[in-house]
Amino acid sequence: MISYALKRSILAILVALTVSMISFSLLYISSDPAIAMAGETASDADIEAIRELYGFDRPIVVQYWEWLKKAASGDLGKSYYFRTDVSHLIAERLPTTMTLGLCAIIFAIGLAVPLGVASAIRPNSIIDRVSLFLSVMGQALPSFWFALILIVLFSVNLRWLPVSGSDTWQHFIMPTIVLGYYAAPAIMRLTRTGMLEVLSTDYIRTARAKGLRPPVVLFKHALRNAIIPVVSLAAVQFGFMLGGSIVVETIFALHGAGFLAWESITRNDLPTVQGLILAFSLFYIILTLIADLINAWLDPRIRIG
Amino acid sequence: MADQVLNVENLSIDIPLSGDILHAVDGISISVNKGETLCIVGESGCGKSLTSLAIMDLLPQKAVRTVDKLELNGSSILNYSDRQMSDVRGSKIGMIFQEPMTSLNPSFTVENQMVETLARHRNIRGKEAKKLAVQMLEKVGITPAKQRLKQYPHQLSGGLRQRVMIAMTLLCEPELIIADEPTTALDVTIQAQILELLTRLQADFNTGLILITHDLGVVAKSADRVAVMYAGQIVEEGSVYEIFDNPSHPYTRGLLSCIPVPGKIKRGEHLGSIPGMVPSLIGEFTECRFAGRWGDTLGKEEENIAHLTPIEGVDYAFLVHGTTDHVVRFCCNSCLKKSKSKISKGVN
Amino acid sequence: MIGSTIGTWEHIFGTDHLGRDYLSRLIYGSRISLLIGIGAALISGIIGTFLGVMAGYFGGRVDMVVTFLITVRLSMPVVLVALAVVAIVGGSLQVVIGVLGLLLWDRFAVVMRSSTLQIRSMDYVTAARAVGCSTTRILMTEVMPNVVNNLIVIATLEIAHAIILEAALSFLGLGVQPPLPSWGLMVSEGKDMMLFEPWLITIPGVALFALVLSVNLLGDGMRDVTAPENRN
Repeated sequence: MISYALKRSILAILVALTVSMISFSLLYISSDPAIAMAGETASDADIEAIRELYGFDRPIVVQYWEWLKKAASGDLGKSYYFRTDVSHLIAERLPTTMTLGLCAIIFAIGLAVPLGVASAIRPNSIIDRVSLFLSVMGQALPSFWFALILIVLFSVNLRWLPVSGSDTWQHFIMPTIVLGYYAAPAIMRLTRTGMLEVLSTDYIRTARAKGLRPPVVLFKHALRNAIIPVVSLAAVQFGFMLGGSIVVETIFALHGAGFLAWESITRNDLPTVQGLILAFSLFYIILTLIADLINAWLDPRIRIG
Repeated sequence: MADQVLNVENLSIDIPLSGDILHAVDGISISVNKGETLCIVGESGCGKSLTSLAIMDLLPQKAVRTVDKLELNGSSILNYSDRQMSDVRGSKIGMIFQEPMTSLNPSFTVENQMVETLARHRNIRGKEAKKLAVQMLEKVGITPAKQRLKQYPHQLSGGLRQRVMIAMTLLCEPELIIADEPTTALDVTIQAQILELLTRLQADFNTGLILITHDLGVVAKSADRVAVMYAGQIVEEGSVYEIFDNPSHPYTRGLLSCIPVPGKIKRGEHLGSIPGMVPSLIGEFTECRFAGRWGDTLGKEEENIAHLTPIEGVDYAFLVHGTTDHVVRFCCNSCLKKSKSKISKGVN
Repeated sequence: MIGSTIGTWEHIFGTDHLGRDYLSRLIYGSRISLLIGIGAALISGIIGTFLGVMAGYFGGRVDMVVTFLITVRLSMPVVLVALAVVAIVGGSLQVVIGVLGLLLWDRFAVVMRSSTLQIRSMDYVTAARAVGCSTTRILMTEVMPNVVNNLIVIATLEIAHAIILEAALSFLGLGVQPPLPSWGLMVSEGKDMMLFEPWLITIPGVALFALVLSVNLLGDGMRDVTAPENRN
């Protein structure tokens, strides 16, 4: 189990490095950082001066290496727009996004797992058909449109919830729903398939033959085994939520990392964008690593070997 | 009967199948006494496993069970609700399945799976439960018991897992154990050990044991009474000595003739077999179930003809002449005629 | 605002804030969505299938490299990178198709890889190799026809995925640029007035929903037809 964790960690670092390499090249090659930094009104001489000063005329590999060295010690450069440390910016905004993502995945799981279990217990029943129907609908619904509809409905017409900002917990309700609903269908279907499979196994038959009560058979014996692949899926979906958070946070003006991403992209703030890409990918990598480890721990055949 | 543990009368199991009905089991009756081993023998697909599931009310949802009497220790469990049945399962009736490799939950330790039965039925938990579990593991021959408790099923061999299953079933000291081909999936050497274990434990606890198998060797070794099943019906039943010495139904004779006996069989001689195939049990029967399978069961000698006495009130059921409990059943008149059995009238 | 009206015979769905007929924009918008969806799926399909089949068939080092690439791609925040690239290079139909095509190949690669792995262990492939068929020939005649089923299913799903992504990008202003009638763009343009004229956002939203739903159902249907045992 330790060697497994070690191997996965090394792989994770390699992946993170590769991602940052690719994004660095994409950003710094396709645009002119000197112009981005100087702003649109700068003169040619100013731009040239900046180029020399910041070494933008050096080969891209050298530039990347410099960036990497600084990044390793936590220095992600300075934002062109906000004029503060990128790492500060991100550290400031990330908690909001994390909170949102956590609420969203809990919402998705809380919605999807019970529906999946209920569908598996009674396949082809009404609840099964309703769940499948909802999941098909959910996957076709564009999130930004859903967000607008919710705003019109709950903020404007019913006046129950606030539209924008991130001051109170009520501000998080609609964003949570919008971010979470997209992950629910996949989780529901995986839970359903997994439970169906597990419920027809021999060891569930043994559990019933032992006279264990139905809730015990269902939740202790069946779900425990069926949930294993769902953990990985949930982690992956949680990772994807960072991408989704860009749209959601921008619509609801939630001051998280996603909103920051949109702000910095529209302002050509390269260091921030690069820093955010690094942060997002690291987050995803760590998340899947944890999910794999939880997986390995949940299954005694892997844990003990 | 004071020490009758199980009494099943006229059990039928029907399974709807794409428009038609599969009559998997057709009007069988069995009974088991305390301390007695009943072996149900038959080919795959004759309905033996379904019978055991029917007794436990664990049939798949689609299957329909019809039975006149289902009594455990004299009291009827026929109309028990699911809740009441779950009280019976595991504590009054225990079941051991065929596949030890997949019958235990891979995510929980042996201890966890054993102790939960005690908590469920006898409200024993914690240290006391653990102690009982250790004792039972030792009784089934697993040592060191304490270490094995902490292990997961994938760390145990097939034979060990089956022993754990047996121990788990015995924890609540059930009055009846149903073992569905418990040794089929194990090595031959382990088979003998497990069988011996079962018989020893049965004597110790005085439980009734239904042993389902297709292996006549197992029957010869372990049975007190035998019920031979074919195509969803019990065609012959009696004590194990009667069945082996005096098989009176053509199917039973066919089964016995399939066993190659070294010394008796000559080189180059064909091995015995029953020709034909088990008929499909879907829909109603238009012809004899045993049609086309007679083969050589009648033999040439006169002594192979069975002497039968009809049983009052039951169609096609006969007592073998001179016994009180050796019963033979034919599925139809043509079967009866073809068997050339001698029917003598009169009460036995 | 110039004539945002609804329901005249000249403009059945009314007009948008610039007075352009809504229904026509809607219809042209469908062309854009489908173009982008199919275009992106085509590009990512080619990339992903190539990588996946290579990894599945040759195994070993090739497989290691491809699996690593897939992990890298999965770790990249797609929306973020897509937005950034479009912001830098400029939004146009070709750019959006290209960016989405270069980013959405992962599911193709994963599924093609596992399908190829399965096929590779089949007897008829071993037979072909024993007879001395060249690798290209085996890939073309034995492997591809058998993975095509899965390929079509994934392709339809990715078309839907690309359509939704493009709508989101255009909504944020970093996708297809005006005056092209992308549905996402139409929602974005309409959201300022959504409280007074809700049809401005409702109609393109419903259109998007309907299109994606149909494509998804098509993919599910194909899955049922080609491999009913995969059905949930």
